[in-house]
Amino acid sequence: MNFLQPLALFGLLLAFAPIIIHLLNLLRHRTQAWATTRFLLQARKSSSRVSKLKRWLTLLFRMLALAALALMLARPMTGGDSFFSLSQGSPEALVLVLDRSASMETRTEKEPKTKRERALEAFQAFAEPWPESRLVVIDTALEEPFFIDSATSVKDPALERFFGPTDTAANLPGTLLKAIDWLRETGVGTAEILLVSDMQTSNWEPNRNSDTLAKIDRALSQKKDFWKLNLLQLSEPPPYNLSLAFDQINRKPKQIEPVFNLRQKGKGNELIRLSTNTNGKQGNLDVKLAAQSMLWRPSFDLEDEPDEGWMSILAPNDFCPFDNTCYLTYGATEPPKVAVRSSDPRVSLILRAASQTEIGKLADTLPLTALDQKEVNLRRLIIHQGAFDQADEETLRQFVESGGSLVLFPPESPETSGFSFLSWDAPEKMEGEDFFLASQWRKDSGLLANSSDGNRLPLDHLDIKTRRIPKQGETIANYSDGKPFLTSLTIGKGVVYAFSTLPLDDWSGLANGYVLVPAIQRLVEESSSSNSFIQSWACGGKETKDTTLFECIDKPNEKTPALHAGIYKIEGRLTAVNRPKEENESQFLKKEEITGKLPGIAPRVIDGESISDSTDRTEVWSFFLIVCLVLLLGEAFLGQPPVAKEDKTLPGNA
Amino acid sequence: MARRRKTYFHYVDQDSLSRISGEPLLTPFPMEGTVSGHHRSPHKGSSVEFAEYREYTPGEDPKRMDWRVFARTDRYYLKEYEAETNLRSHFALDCSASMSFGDPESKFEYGKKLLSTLAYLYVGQGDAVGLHTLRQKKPQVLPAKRNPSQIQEILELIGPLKPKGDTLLASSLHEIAETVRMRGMIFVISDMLEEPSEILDAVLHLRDRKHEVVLFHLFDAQELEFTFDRPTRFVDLEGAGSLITEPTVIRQEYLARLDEHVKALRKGCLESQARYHVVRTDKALVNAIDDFSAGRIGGKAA
Repeated sequence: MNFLQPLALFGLLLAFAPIIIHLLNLLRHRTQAWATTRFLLQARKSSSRVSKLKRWLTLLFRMLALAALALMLARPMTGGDSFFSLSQGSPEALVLVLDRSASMETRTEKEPKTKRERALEAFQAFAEPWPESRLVVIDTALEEPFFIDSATSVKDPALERFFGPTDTAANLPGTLLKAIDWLRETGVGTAEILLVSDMQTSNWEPNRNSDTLAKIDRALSQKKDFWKLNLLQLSEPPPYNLSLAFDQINRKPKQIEPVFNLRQKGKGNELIRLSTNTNGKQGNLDVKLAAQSMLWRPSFDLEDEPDEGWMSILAPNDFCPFDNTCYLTYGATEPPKVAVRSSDPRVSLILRAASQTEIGKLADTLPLTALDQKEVNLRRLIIHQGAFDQADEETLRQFVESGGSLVLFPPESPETSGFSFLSWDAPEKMEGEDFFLASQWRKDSGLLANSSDGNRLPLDHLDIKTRRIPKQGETIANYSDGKPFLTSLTIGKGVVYAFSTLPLDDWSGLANGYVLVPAIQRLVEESSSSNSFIQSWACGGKETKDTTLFECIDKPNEKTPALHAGIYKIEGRLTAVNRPKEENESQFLKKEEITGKLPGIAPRVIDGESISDSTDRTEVWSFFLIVCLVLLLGEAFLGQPPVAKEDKTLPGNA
Repeated sequence: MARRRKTYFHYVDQDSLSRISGEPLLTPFPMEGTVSGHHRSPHKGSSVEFAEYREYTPGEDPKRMDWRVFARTDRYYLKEYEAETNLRSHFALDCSASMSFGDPESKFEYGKKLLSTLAYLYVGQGDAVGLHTLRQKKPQVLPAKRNPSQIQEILELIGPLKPKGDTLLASSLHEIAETVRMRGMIFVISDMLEEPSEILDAVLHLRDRKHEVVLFHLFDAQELEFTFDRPTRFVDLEGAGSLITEPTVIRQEYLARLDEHVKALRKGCLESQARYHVVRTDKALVNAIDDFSAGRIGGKAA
């Protein structure tokens, strides 16, 4: 049994108060000269059985009542099936929803174990009071529920694939919903769900997942008192962390210049020694951390290296080992494979100028006639505007699915709405001197990210008179009214970007170039540094899960791309698999932000400060309240004077 | 200048005297006295109260022969009348330390008043009154006398008395039974803190000697009600130690024991034709006198 308010246990000393009061009363007795002492002695002698028993019982009841009161105030907690809990027995199923994202590998100064290991231990303790319940685990990496025989199985090395560390991200609301769906499908009557997470914001995204959370709330509300949700939050931040994230790579002849994002927390400027592994050759590299966050552009000489290869960078071990390693691949230098296709010559010129790879050399154009699949397949980046023939749609879709990047600008003609996979709303025009203004965009990565020296793109200074809002895709930048300025849509292995305005004077100031050129150039650079033989994936992404034939290069036979970052050869292509960028974020949710989204069920939130507390299921103060009341009633009953059979007071000479 | 003599006449309760005055207090038992009085004698005498007819035996005084009966029946009968005499009353006052208990007036002081008032009434109707102080050291005895100055003697004897020492009630009553030869009334004024069986043995002893025995059992109100509400250390007045207890816990049992004691005495007295009166010292003395005199005033005693 544990206590939520252990300080209140000092109140147990109060249990001795009745004895002390009794003794004090005896000490402060009054003295009375007395004649009929013989009757007193007889009375005490004969009343010694019942009266003494009653007196001691009264004293005992008082002591126990005070002890029960102190225990009640200490808010004891015990196993759900405990006698004290007054509950109805074991639930049918215990479900562990395990956050196995990379950030769960964090440790703290007090706790040498990682959060994932603590989560598994907590589940063991959580399941201990209910040995008869079925144990089900669903984790964020595999997202498939599976049974385990006993709670100790979570430490079985043979089940490392199911409980071990991963380099994946997580979608906790989605995983929790899957667990609830499983409960519904299997017809489980009573269940205790233990969700363990470090509450990393990117793993929850409560605003984006508000629909999912609402579904969870509805489902659990309908099964209130039968399916109970327990949330164990392990959001303690690490005392010190150095984070290494791969941003991009610049390929030059016999040389590569990768760009890394280095962030540190908890220490000052110091020299860090990083370990490198280039195609299996170990090396070291020193870097001076000049700020809390910095872009680091080392240069690696590839004189003795093959044209295509891989590299891993490893930072010294710290409290968050999961973000210490980066993997990258490089390919042979190839000429840029960029082409522009536009029905408007002005737009075509601007886009070709913006996407030029060498000074003075405009990008190629694609004809407006029906696209040739072979011609298209030679490109890595196609910038497209205006001509939205249905005949070209399938060609361009295949281009994207095979890994190409497609940038789409809206058609000028209101009658044309775009392709079926990406289309625009009707044109909106701002009258007078007013403009549409973009106000929010992702500044840490992507097309509109801040420059390497930290300056942000002046997107909010862009004057937009006319716009057509893309209907599909994930928003990268927003207008001030919340509508998307730029979206991205992943199709197969490639990405489609859709702008909402054109670089024309009556549309916007994009033609000025200070937003358009950096964005397009980033895409050009990305396409020129990749070729068909190398690629970079996010660990746990859809493509990594779909992969069945792979070969691990950096640690043969030890890793799988769906779970672990590393260098793989997948279908003959050298692939760098890194943890998702969102795992690098160090923002954590407060419990109110989750419980606020689940108003119907009020999940029990257990603080990660004391995991042992989380193992206890039920507060049992009500038991001690009842005991206290029963004891007080007993004390009152014992304190009642006996029923007078007759008036013993002698009348005398009345 | 002559020192003024201290008087103890206040012990005689005037209210009681007013209530009883003029009416003799009679006894249901025949008494042996030396002079004529209000009480029945075991011998036949010359009073106006007819007793019986008895056949004449030669040699007896022919003056008492009833000639009218002889005229009707030709037989000699003597007409006899009751003899009336005075009585000897002996007061036994318990002077043990336990009698000092009581507030505002101790049982001993109350007992003195009861004794003095009754003695006054009996002397007033021509009966002899004697006194026995029951105490451990130097017990005192005043032989019964019918002289009015006997009251003064009694008052001067009991006036300065202070209660002390253990109770010797039963043994003292046995001694009285042995020493008082002529039948009379024995008044016992005590708190009766001895075993009822021992007291009743002594009462039977007195009854064997043809004495009428009247027990006045004195109680203070606290002893009867026992209304203490906090832990109390009871110190025995006769040195039998002390007892710390919670009065509320043992009250019922205490009252039960007290009741048993009183009932045993009452039953024993009833069986031995002794009179037993429980007297509360918080009540006026006249109540105790009333209780005692019921059935004794006016005509024959019950």
